[in-house]
Amino acid sequence: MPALGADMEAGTLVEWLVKPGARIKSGDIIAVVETQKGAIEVEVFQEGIVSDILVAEGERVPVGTVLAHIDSAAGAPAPAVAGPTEPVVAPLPSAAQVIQKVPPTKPTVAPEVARAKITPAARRRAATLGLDLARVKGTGVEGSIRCADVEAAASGRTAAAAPSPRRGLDLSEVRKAIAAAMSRSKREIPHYYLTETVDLHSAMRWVERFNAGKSPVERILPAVLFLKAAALALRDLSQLNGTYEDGVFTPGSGVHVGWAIALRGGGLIAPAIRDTDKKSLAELMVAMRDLVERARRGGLRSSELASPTITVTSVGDRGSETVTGVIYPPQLAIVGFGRIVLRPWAVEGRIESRPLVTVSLAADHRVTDGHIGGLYLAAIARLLQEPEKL
Amino acid sequence: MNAPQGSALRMTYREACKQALRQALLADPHVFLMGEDIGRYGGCYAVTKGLLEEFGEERIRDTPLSESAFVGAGIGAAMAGMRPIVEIMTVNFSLVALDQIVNNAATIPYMSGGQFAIPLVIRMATGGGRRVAAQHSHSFEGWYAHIPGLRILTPATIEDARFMLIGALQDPNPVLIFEHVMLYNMEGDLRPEVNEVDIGLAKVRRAGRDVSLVTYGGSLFKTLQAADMLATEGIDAEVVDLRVLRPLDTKAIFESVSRTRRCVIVDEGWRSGSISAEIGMRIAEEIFFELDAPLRRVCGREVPMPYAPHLEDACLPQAEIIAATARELVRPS
Amino acid sequence: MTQKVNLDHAHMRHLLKAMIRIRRFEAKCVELYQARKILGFLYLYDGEEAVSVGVMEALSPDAIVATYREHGQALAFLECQTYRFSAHSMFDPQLYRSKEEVEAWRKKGPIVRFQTCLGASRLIKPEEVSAMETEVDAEIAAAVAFAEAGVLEAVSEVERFVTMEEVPA
Repeated sequence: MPALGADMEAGTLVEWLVKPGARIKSGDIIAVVETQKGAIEVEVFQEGIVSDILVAEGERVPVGTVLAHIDSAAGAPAPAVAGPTEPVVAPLPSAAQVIQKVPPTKPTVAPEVARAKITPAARRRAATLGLDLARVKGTGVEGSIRCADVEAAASGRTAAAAPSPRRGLDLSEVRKAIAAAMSRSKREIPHYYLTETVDLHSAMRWVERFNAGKSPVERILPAVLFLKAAALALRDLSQLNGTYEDGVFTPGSGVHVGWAIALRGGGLIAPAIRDTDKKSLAELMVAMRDLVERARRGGLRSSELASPTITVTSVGDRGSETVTGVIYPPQLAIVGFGRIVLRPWAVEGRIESRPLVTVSLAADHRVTDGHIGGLYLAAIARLLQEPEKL
Repeated sequence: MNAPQGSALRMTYREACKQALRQALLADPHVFLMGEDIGRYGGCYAVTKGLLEEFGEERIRDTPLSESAFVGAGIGAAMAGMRPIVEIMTVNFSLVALDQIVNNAATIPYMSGGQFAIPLVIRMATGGGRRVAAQHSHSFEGWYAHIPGLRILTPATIEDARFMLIGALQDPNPVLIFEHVMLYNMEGDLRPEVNEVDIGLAKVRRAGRDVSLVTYGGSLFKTLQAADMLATEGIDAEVVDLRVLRPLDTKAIFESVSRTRRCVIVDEGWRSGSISAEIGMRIAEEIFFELDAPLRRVCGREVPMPYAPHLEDACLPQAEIIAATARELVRPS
Repeated sequence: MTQKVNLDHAHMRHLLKAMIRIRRFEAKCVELYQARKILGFLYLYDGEEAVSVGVMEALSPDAIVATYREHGQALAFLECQTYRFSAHSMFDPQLYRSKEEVEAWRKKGPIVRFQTCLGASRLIKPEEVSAMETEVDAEIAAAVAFAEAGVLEAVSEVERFVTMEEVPA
């Protein structure tokens, strides 16, 4: 069965135009074959006598099947329409040779930071388990630490006797410190509480416009606006920014807001963002992300925990509408931003649906009173009406 | 032309394409076909054989050898209220009509402020493997997926070949349908209960846990073979058939990769700036933190397609290479 | 441009042999294609040999051509009316013409006509034509043998000539 087209894989022998014994010469049409394109005549390229017919009329056979034998003049029977012989093909190169691996571009690494290769999913798993990645052996691609390695290390951890080398802060120590601080706060600091509901209509529209067309990495969250507003409002109300210890009030060297981060195993820590009021929103977004990532893997520095001059906690979209915090001693106040909700709101005499947030202040009554606290919250509310100035 | 109740209808991909065209021609008098050799010759791949006899010259139009002219005519006809289905013999010849497709079909709705829609369907054969060398073996569906205004479909199964065309005719926008040349002879069954398909979603063709193999078109069956090979080694691969390259069903891709945490993209086109590059980048942008291994892809070798069969085979994605790439992610050596 | 040129015996044989070579080479290609030694597409040319042989002659430096070149300076557009005997491609059931039509044209084919014309002018003898055919068949057989004996190009070479290092001499 001849190959009559690039696409042809089989054909049906419709009609034989010769019988056994017939004498044929090169160029004679000896059969008709039906293909998907229609009936095509089969030409023969030999001279001789048809000896055997091997495929009957009506049979469908693959290309290359011998249809008939022809006794050539030399006497030896030759198959009519030689079956295709496979050329000697080099074996397919082994997969290892052909896989086009793009070698990872090696970034110039600062000498003091040796970067381990850890998959994003493995990092997250380790943080959830509270596992120190320095102790995990990687068996992933290029020796990377992957989920299975973290799981293996976690299950083997209880059996290991060797203490873990310290890398950043030990989480369990941090939790102990928090517990002590909270108890002390409730024992020693007379808290007073104020709340304010803020219309975020302008702020949310501004965030939407800012984020439009930006890649996920460049986008900002509303929480960044809260942080900046809380920091800027402190410039004129320094009585809320600083520390109170042993009867002495010390104003802060600058506005270093402690940003409260929930730890996966439970508990809250609030490392400082230095000079919060001087950073742009984009810079604050980067700083927040960095702190969250390091907090969750135990990579915070103790100086970051010791230096906040005030704490801000923002519960995000899964928290409650109002959050009133507990002051971290020796700080003087803690500002809480609840969940952004859509509620009916009076706007120029009409009722409209507006995004609102409830801001709360818990402050040390030994240093300030409700008047100052009220001015502070009013300042935050005002700042959030002009997001472009933050 | 639906299958008789209760029986699966067995047909080739070619036959499914033809039945789709017949259904379209019977259902709507505004539908007509244009293309080189589609009438008297019955189509370069025999898809339209018999349609001229059934529907006549007004509706099955043989065109001169000028893609720019007849694609332009199709655009004009679509603007005027007809529903033309233009056949460009292969994607290789579509380059001659690129200006019409990109600068007219894809763009007139936008430039006219929505005054004109271009409900045009263009069918093209695509891909390599037929030993027809550098100028006749391109896979440009990924390139076309770069262009806003176009919908790009890549039916890889009998069912999709049978029904995606009908969906395409309901789209008011230009739709390009890419039929891989190695699929025309493929045989399979239509499910009798199915008489339409969507033209927007990817489909998981094989569910798995260990790695997502994301592919489309002519590479689907090689990818499924690779999954079978991996299964014998205890590696459970999931195979996702994209079906639509523009707009990409990223939701399906992300859902699969977020579960398996590993991804190999199989794309017959050259890797640079390909649809595999786009998919890889989207995964990195949106679900980076789900990944437990680097992203990988198996693409056509970045050379003009060679003529010699052993060289052509070495330049196309093959099941062994796909399996080896996936294996390396799950069990690094 | 109807200048008649005087063509000598050697040149006539050269032209006829060239056409015969093309015809027989193509026939061999058809045979090899059906046996899957040649893959992809095969487009045939039989019946049109006079065009390529004639044009090639006009392009080469040649005493006959010199006179043409002196007369013409501008680019020319050649319309050659031809008839191809075989189908357009191998996979063509030729539904667009009848067998009788093809047969009629075969009788008017360029090789038949040229040979007849030369024979009538006694510029060629039948045994010379047979000898030409034998020589051409030998050339073709040698070419096929060379191809069959060839070694497949290594896959490692597949990227050669994607880009060039320099303009070739």
